[in-house]
Amino acid sequence: MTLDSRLYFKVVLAGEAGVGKTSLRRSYLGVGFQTQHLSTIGADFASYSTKINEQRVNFQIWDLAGQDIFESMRNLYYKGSLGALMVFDVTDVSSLEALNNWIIELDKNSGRGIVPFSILGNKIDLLDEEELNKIRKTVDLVIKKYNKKFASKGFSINYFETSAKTGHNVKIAFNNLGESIFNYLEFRRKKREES
Amino acid sequence: MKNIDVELRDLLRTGKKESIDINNLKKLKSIILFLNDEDREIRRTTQEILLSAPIIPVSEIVDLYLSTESEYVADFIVENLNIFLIDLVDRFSNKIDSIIVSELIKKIPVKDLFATLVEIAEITPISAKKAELIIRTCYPSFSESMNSLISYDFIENFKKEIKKLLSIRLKENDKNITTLVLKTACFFPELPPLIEKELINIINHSDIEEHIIYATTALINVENKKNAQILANRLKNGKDSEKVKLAIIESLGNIGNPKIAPIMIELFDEGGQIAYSTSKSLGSMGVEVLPYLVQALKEDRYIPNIVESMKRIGSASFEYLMTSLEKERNIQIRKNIAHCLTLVMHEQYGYEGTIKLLTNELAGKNRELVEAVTQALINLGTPSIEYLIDELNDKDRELRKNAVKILEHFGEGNIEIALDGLLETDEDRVGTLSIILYVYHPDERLRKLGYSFAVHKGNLRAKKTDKLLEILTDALNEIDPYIRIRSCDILVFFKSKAIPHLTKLLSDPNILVKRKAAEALRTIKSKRALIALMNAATDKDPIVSEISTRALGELGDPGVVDIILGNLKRNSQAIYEASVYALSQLGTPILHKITKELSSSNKKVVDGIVDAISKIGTVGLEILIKKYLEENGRRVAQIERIIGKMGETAIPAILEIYEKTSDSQNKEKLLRLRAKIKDTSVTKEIVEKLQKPASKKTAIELINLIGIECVNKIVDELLKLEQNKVKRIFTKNIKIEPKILVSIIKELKLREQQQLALHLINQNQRTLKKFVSENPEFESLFEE
Repeated sequence: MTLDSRLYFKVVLAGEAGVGKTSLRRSYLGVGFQTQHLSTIGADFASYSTKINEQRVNFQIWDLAGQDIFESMRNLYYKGSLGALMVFDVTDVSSLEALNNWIIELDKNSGRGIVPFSILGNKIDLLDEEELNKIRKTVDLVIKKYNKKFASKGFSINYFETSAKTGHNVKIAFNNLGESIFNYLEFRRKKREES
Repeated sequence: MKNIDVELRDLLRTGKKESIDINNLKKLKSIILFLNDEDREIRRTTQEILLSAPIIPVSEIVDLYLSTESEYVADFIVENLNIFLIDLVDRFSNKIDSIIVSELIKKIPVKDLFATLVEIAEITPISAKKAELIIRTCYPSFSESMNSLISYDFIENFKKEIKKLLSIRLKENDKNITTLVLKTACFFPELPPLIEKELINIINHSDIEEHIIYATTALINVENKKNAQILANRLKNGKDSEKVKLAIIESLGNIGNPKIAPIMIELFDEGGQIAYSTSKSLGSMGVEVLPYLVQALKEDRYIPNIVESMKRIGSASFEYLMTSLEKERNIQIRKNIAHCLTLVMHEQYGYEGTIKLLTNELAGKNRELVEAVTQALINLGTPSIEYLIDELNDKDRELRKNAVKILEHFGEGNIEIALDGLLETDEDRVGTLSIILYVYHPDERLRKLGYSFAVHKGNLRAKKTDKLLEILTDALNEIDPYIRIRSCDILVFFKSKAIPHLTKLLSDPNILVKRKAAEALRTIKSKRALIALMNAATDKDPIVSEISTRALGELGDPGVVDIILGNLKRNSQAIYEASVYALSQLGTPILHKITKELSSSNKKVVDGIVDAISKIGTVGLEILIKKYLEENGRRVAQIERIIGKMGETAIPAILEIYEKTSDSQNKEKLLRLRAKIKDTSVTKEIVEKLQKPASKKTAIELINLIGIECVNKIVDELLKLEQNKVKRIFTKNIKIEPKILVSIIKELKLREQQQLALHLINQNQRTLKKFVSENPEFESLFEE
């Protein structure tokens, strides 16, 4: 075995049950979208290799179960996460509100505090432009709030509208998270060196 | 109405109860029908008479109710239920009667009904229990009551009767009754074995959802594993609702026949609640399903459900997965076993536990197992790294070797991420881990990374605990000398605590380790290491000796001077230089001792001392010059050499002594020393001496000692004199070196002192001609 230049980025897909986390993962991995909702048990895992910033990256995607019954076991899976995709369903505003709890969970359980995350509004194929605009206004406020809260952490939070069904923005969202993680790690390195 | 009845009625209406003989059963029975009389008074008198009788004709009264279904009679029965209940339930042997009785019983609140049963049970407990059982099969609300008189013994002792009763009820083919019988069977676990056949029949043939669910649930208590196949067959037909399927799946889990596992595993494809329940059921079937689950790992999509089952089976799953990893030949299955291991163990043992268990497996020599465990650890991502680093100093070589490989696989970037992450929560741990990484990992890049985390702001990031010291001292016992060497690098930070350990290493069989230990002791700079360093200074290895000698010098103990002087004699330039350095570090306290050695016959010793004193600087020089003057100029050569080595830095010291000295002879000696080190400030004194015939020769010697560097200043001083005086100085063939003389002429010309220049040329023609012939470039100087 030789020294491997590949970086392992453990990322979690978080969000309420049924918002489409597993479908997003499948869409990203190219396994295809499943119309039938399969509730994830505790967490499921998949890995995917890609190149970000000219660096080979292996995304270790942990797909967390959204159901409350899995909450206690779910917390275990956050450890070592370097990033998260916080998914909500654009057709269900309550799932956006619920993201706050998921962000708290991430902060509490990652083992390194809050790490870069993006907010994904999924299932946009189910809404028209007018309805999406309404959602965007709400999301804007949420993003501003988190960017202010985590301003000193070395990353900023972005919003992506996705459709696991059509694959819209899915790859971009993953790649953007990868870049955020790079920036965050660089920020941490500089901070370490300065101290 | 017959005449006799009319008479009786009149009697009852007038309330003359005493005229009816209650002991005469025949008479008594004859009044029963008046329970259904329209006249309230007649009914009341009749009831009173009947209830006061020593033998109440219960059966006849119930018969009256069954034939008339009279509300009045029903009320009477219900109000006196304790008297009638047993008779009532006896009527269930007749289908038609049972319907009527059922309807009557259902009118009674459950609470009252049970209270009556309790009352009856005080006198006839068995009858009361039988009654309860029957009521449960006809009264839906009562069937849900958690109160019961029925016991295990009762069912055991009246098996046949109960079996018959339940069978009869089921044979009635009434949907509701069947439901209630099945519900009752579910309520009492001893009942299903009595109606196993009927239950199987329902499962095989019924299309009533409720019946199948209850029958399936009841079947759990039959304890016949063969029944699992019947349930599986039902599942396979695929027509049932999700509710039915879920009941069957749960039942299968309870029956626990592992042969059914393959059929159940296929249900994972249905997803959702079905898949989840199947996982749970398989999990409750225990270890026997593990072979089937592992084989199902051929399909990636089953992983989450298989994991869920395995989590429920518990630690046996982990052990089975590990064994399977070793034995399984199918690559796909092996890969997924590794995947499952991660998830199963993660759930059960947490992150730390999982990784620890996995890393323990790295101690094995089975290559395939190690490969799979490696995969599992990589699956767990960067959090594995800290535990892998922990294993780098494990006693098991195989484990250590594999940990090294996996860390190499992760590489610098990931290890940096892992350590950086840990900084947030446990800086001390990061410090310890990075030390282990630095000391133990063979890859230079990773070691470098380790060191960068280990040392923070010039000190160790980790607390210098005894435990950490133990890690490092354990490393000193490693076979690999480079581990011992790197341990020394870190031990340095422990300062005096590390000295005993480093001292031991001075006799290490490996020369590189010895050198590193000496270097570490030098860095620590503690007098506690003095003896060890004194011994090491005479080590055969020139580098150990060199480092130790330098260290001795730095410790500043004059007691070591003999060892250092001894080292000056050794045949090694490095040791010589180190000794000179050490002597110079020891400084003035040893000057007295070493100046005595200047008379040594050993040239290297003398040279070394000279070099050392020149390094000691002005303080040493002052002492030495004073000694030199006291000793009447002995050792002038050494002093000159020292001064020569010191160069301009020696000037202030000599000047200071010169100014304090009044003795003219000593002054002259000092003047010579000043000239020797080209102290041009002596030119004033030189020009003064040049004017006096007695000192002219000394002045010329001084000029020649300084060389051309003094020309400018000499000319400055000369030009302050009258021309005649200058001309008198430069008489024929003056003994100033031609090179200096030429420089003076040149300088005079530059300052347009042509006459004086010409005078000097004329006075020294022969010398100058010879000089020009050897140095033709100066020819133009004399053209005029």
